[in-house]
Amino acid sequence: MDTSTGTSVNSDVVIQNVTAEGMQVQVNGEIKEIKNNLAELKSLLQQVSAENFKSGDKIYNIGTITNAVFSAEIGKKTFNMYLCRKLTEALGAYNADASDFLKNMREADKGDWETQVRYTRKANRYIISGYVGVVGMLLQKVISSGIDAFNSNNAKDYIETCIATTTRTLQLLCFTFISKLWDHKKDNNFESSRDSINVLDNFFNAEIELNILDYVELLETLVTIFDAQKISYPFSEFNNSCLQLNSSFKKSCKNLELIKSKLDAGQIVYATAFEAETELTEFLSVLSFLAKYKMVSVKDITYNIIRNGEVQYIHSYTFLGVDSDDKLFSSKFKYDSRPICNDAVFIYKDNYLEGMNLFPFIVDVNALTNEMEVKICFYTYFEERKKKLIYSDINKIASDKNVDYKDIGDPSQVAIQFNSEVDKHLESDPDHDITLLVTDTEKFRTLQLNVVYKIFQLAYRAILE
Amino acid sequence: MKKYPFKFLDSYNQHDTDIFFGRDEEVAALYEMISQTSILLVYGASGTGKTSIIQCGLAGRFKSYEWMPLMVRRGSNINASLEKQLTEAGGNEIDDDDLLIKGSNRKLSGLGRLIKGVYINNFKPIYLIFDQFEELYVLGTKEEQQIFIESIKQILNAAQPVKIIFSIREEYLGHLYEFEKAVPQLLRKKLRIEPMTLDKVRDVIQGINNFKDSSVTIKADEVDIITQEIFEKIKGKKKTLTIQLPYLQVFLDKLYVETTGDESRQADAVITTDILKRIGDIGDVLRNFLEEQVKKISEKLSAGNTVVATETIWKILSPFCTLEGTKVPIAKKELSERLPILDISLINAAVDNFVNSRIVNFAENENLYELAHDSLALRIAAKRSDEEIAVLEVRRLINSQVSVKAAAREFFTEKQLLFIEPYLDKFKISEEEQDWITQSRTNIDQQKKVIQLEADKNRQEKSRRKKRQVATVVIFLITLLIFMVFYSYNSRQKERKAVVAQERSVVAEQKTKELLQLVVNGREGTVDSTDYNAVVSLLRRQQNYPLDSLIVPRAISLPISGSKNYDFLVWIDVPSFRRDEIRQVVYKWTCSGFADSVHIGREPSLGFAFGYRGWGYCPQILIDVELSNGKVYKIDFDLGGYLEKR
Repeated sequence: MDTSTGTSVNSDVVIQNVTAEGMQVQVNGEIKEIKNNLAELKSLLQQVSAENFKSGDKIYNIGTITNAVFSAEIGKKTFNMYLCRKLTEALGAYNADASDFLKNMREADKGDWETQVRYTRKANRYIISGYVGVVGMLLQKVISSGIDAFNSNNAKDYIETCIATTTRTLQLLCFTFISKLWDHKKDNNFESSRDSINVLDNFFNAEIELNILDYVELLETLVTIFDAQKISYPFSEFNNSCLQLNSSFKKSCKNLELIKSKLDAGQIVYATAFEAETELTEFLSVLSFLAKYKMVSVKDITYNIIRNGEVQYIHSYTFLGVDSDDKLFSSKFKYDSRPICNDAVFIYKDNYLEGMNLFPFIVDVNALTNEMEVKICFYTYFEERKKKLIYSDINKIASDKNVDYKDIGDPSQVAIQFNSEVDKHLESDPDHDITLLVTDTEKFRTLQLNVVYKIFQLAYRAILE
Repeated sequence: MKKYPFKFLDSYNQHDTDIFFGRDEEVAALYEMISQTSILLVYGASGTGKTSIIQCGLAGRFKSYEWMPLMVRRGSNINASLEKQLTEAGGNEIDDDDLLIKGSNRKLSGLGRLIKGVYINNFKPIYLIFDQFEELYVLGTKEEQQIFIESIKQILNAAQPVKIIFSIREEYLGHLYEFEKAVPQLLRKKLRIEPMTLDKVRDVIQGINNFKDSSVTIKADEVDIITQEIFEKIKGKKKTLTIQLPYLQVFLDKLYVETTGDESRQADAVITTDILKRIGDIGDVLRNFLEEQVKKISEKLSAGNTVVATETIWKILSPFCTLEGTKVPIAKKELSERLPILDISLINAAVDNFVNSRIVNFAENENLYELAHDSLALRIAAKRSDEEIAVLEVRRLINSQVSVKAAAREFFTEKQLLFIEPYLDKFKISEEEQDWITQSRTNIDQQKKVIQLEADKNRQEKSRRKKRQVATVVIFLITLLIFMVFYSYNSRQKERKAVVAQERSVVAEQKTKELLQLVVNGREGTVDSTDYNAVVSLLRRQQNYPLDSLIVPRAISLPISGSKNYDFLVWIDVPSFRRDEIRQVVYKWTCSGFADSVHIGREPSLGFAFGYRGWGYCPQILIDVELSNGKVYKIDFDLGGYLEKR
């Protein structure tokens, strides 16, 4: 958005000596010191009755300039500042550590702490470890790409990460609602409206990845079903008012989808990245309750039975996301008297055993294939003809559409193709002797991935049929 | 702007993704694997393109915000290099306050803290990439290796967002034994990088043709034949299905220069089979390349009356590789120390020329120079003189000894010093090394002194012992002599006594015999008294036989001259030594006419005889031999018959 004008200056206002914290404004030869933010500049120009001001060789109109353009062109701010401040504040309501951090900083710094590295380093870590599992991981990418973008003067990656974070967060919300709906339908049969079914069918049978607005529509549909059927939301803190027509949440989603269109069309400018940051921040501020949730991927479950004793289950799971020690994916082992679904990915508040199982919409491909580490993938679309589910690797953000992946394949996508041959092996043996399958690594891997496909079909039928 | 698509001997890096062809499968596998593990081992033979696959292929899969790659080469010490890399990446740009975050429990120090510093400066997962990791085993000390293993353990225990990739030549995999024991996950996930197959070479050639900004193209209808020819020329006579990536690059570069003659590599070129035919195999290409460069540099550095021989250039290249022909990174300062006889400005000029001619690369970060590839190192190693080889061996010997920490270090042996000392003026050694050599020499001298003292002491002791032995022997001999004299005297005495005894014995025997003769002689007709054995046998018999068997009656009649009467004597012959068993003998006349019919003989010495004078005798008499034990032997004696016989 070009906000520079060719009009003359009615008052001689020139901005100079811009630092992260402040800037000097020369008004008719007199120098005034103000903080480096648009609100202070607006206030000053109002005082001196000026509409336009000069920065470098450009003249701007104070009435039309946006925060993004101000940050990018006048304030010369680094990325992440707005996001860091707003999200830490939003997080403070749910995260005691973040709240203490904000309370305990020096009074003098409270106005612009986001401009000081000693605060942002900590705040960024609260954000990354605070937001639920995969969202925290994505925010880590947003923050690191913001640092890179400022240094390289290339904002494309920053915009990509902002959009990916929005999309995946919306997916997470939708997957959690759908999972709860599936569980509910096991015991409660009801019919949904044709519109709702169409939207849900579009999700299960999507042939290309849904965009941000598609997911907003899906979320609205799900909330409508939940409200109609009086099913409690899987997030007790979720407020459906955010889905009202002109809510900031919906506005942010709409703007982020617009930014994505610009990105795909190669029409982005430096300021677009600040817009993306602002919109993502608004979007996530609404969802700050996600800070109360955690995620785990169940790697394995075994049991011990001592003779004449009680069964003890050993849960092997991985904490998804970045913990407070900055460790990504910490592995845990735990004894419990209760079994859990293996290969599950849970979102939960206090105890994962009471959490919502997001499988097969979110899967840990490495857990399924007995690999170390974690590879969290989100269901993206379905190639029904090929019996192939396409997932997106949360750790790998799809690049722009101009990159041709025909030789190497899109590294952000993981295909799970149903293999009926392997499945026949399983079904044809009445004793369920799977020795041959298990000892053949490739077949066993296929067998495991077949489960994802089959469970996905079960979910589809349970919800839509 | 067109891009020259060949890298010659350099590795591909993140800026070369558009010209890096033929390795998609390996790159995909590498990317997949690194998402499955925190430690990954990439291995393969020299020249398979490990470094390129990581630095270019893998790097191309990551966006800048997705990873923080820190390439670590050993340099002069891998532990120092690792710390330097982390520090330069911002590891130290944090203070304790940055670490103090509510909810964090982990206390960090050392490498863990540096890694944390790198992370919170940019919030990217850190990828520590240890390229050419075999250098730790080729050039590193045991202590350096041990510290490194501990460092890796420390990094893993610090639970930081870090992944580690080791790239190593496959012939050094065995060296990882100790490392794997300490870090068991080291070899769990590994990727072997295969050399270039014909198909991959075709991909490279096709890739160059498909790259729209390439300054080089391959004649479209000759791609297959050129691919095949290039492959054959690089493969040579070897029975193999693969070739090395750097050789392919060198060969393609040579093709380009042959086509265009443009050393600046700016001109566009179309490579054809005609050009290909003019070039020999890869051996020729490499050899010629190196020989040509060395010759060019020697000519360039020769000015006026100063002639820099090609041998000198080879000598300056020598420290860039090990004895075995593996490249070694080296700083200019170290190079001049290794070549003290050469002028420092000459060395610097030569090194600059090496860089310009792409024989050597300069790593600005580490301020080190390094051969562009091991293939060059082998050729340089083959050019060394015996003396250079000896100097390298000496250097290695000194390094290996001195690099061990002082407490565990061993002195050079005298044999080693004799090998080392003649070459010490051929290169510069550090103060520590010189000090250790001096200490070793001092130690040997001291040892020698101790040995000398010991020898003297031993000699004296030996002398004393010898004297003692002589004295002992003398005493022994004297004693022996005395003993011999005594023995001899005794023997003579004994002999004499024996002779006397024998003489006495003879006499005694003689006398015994005489006596026995006397005894026997008194016993008429019993035995020949001269036969001593018969006499003894007789006597033994007479001693043991029943007495009655031994008693023989005897009689004699002697005429009396002038008278018709006779003197008659009757007695019993019985061994004299058994006469005491007889009490008396009673002779009874069995005929009338005699005054006394009974006569008793009581005298044992006379054989219990009785005698009478008269004119006749009773022809038959009865003799009762009465024994001391009361028994009586009765003998009917035919006196008449007996006397007539006589």
